[in-house]
Amino acid sequence: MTMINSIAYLPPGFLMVLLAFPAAFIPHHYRQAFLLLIIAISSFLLTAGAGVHWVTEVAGFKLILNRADNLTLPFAIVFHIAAALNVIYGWHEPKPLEHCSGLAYAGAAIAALHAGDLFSLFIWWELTAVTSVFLILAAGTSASKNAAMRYLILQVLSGMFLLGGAAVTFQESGSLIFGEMDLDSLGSWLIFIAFGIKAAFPMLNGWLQDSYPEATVIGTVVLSAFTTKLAIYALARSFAGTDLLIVIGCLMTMFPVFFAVIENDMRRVLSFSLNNQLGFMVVAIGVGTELAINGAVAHAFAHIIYKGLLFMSMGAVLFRVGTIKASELGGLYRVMPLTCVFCIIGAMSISAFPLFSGFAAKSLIMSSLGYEGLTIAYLILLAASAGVLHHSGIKIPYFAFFGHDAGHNAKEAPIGMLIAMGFAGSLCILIGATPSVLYSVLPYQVDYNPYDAGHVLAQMQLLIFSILAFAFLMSFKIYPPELRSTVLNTDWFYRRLFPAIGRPFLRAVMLVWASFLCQTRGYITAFQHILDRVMHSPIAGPTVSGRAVLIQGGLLSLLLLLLYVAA
Amino acid sequence: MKNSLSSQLKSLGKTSKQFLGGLAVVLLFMEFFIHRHAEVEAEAMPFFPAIYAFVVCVAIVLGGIALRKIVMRDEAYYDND
Repeated sequence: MTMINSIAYLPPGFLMVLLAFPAAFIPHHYRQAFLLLIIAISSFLLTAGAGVHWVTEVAGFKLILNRADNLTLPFAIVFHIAAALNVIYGWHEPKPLEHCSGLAYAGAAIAALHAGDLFSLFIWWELTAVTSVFLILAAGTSASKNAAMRYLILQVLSGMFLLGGAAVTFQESGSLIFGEMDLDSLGSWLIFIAFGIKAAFPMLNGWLQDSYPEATVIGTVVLSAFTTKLAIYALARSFAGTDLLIVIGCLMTMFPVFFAVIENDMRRVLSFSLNNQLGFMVVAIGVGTELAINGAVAHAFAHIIYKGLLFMSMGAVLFRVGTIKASELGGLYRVMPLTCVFCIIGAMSISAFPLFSGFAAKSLIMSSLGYEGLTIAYLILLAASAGVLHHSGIKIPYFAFFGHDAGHNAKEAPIGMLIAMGFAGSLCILIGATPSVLYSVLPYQVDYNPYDAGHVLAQMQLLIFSILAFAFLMSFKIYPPELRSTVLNTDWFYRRLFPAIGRPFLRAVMLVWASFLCQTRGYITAFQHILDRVMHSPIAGPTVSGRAVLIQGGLLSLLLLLLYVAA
Repeated sequence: MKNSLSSQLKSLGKTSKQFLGGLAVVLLFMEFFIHRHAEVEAEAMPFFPAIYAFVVCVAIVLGGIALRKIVMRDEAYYDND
């Protein structure tokens, strides 16, 4: 095989992981250009098309390192787009840490998409955790350090569930293939939980809102794209049509909405909103029809871009103003007009305004629920859609750029940030205005047109009356004011409750252990005393010069005795 | 400067509200001319998306206010972590 051929069969993303570290030694602007080049080469590998491109055998296990099909392709495309946008967004930052860990992280996520067996998936799965933690650590505060450690523990825990699940599955079925599964065995349940942690299922979601807002300006943007959507891909691959996911997804769409309303940190608001968006995808995967899976994938695709755009705009505000607390922001539209426009484009996309990407994607999911007659799930998702508009569509741009004059005299975002936001915004509108661009890369053939007048009218009524409700609540001062506060989330259980319960137990265990050590030490001292006495007052012969010699002598005698008995 | 931005924001708010109000009326009216799309039976009710969205949004905010009583803590709550 020639060199070119062997490169062509590498899983996409592999080169990004491999070259991320050496890239750290290249000077600033050349490095950024080099990163874009690597991403371009990696994306070129997607042209290999569907098929199993690389299988290898390690210790008797068949590992499928590069499997491409119509489910991996849309995710791989959008992961590459996000990786490239992130490089451009962070161009102003001369230090290599965030860029290089970001590239390795994106590469690991892309390679994970192409893993055809559970063991290779596990390797990449863990690598996404290890590479991305630097994006949080790079913030350099003690809060970010602690959040990074909690993030890493939860991510690695997910990996442990995956590895355990893979091992049990292999035991049960003799196969490591990463494919469709039923929730009918221990192995599949372990894998389901592994995916559930990364997909931020209810009660397993605390790590997301805990860690993402603690990362750097660039870090949060990078983080928002990959981990959770890799989990969505994995769920779509293995658990499509699992009814339980409809219930889980509905809970995911509703709960974060309430938290987002009262949260003060805008990047945390977006993290709650990210969780709610994942809920739509999880519901669609649970429905599992061709239309629904198309909807889940389309939504993940559009979501990565508009959510990235929203995080980018809030990152730009944080970068220029130095705070991202709603209570301290307002009136920035005049000093950061372009960032404001891009933020509104992101907001309109996530709210699913017609002509914006969210509409093209979410309509597929909503229709799939309608076709299957899932009325309750439909109404819950409709309510969640109104909620999304409320906290992401209105709250984010309103409190940052309008609201009241907070007196910040900030500058417009750096040029790299503006270019990245411009690209992302254009993609949002392109996908929204011509959905066929997105529909053409979906896993199944699409025969769907979201733009019939009746559908647009229904959506516009939903959106405009949601905004009207916001205006009404603001006018009558019912809307809760933004307050400097901490909103407790499910991470409270392992940050406060478990330690509170666990500490007394741990203390008891330590007490027993300490007294055991104390006892043992007592025995050793007593033994040494006996030795000393024997040394200094021998029964016969000369005085022995040390304990060690005496012990050796004793052992030799014992050995002699044993041999004598044995003989 | 500060005053002028404040007054600008106020007038922007006023204009937006008028625009919204106008648009809302138009959207309700259009229902008489366009057959509005309904995925589920309940949605076929007249003005369903408009009423549902308004009620849900108010409920979400009221829910948020109630939730504050349970989960809101001082900003420094986790500081000694």
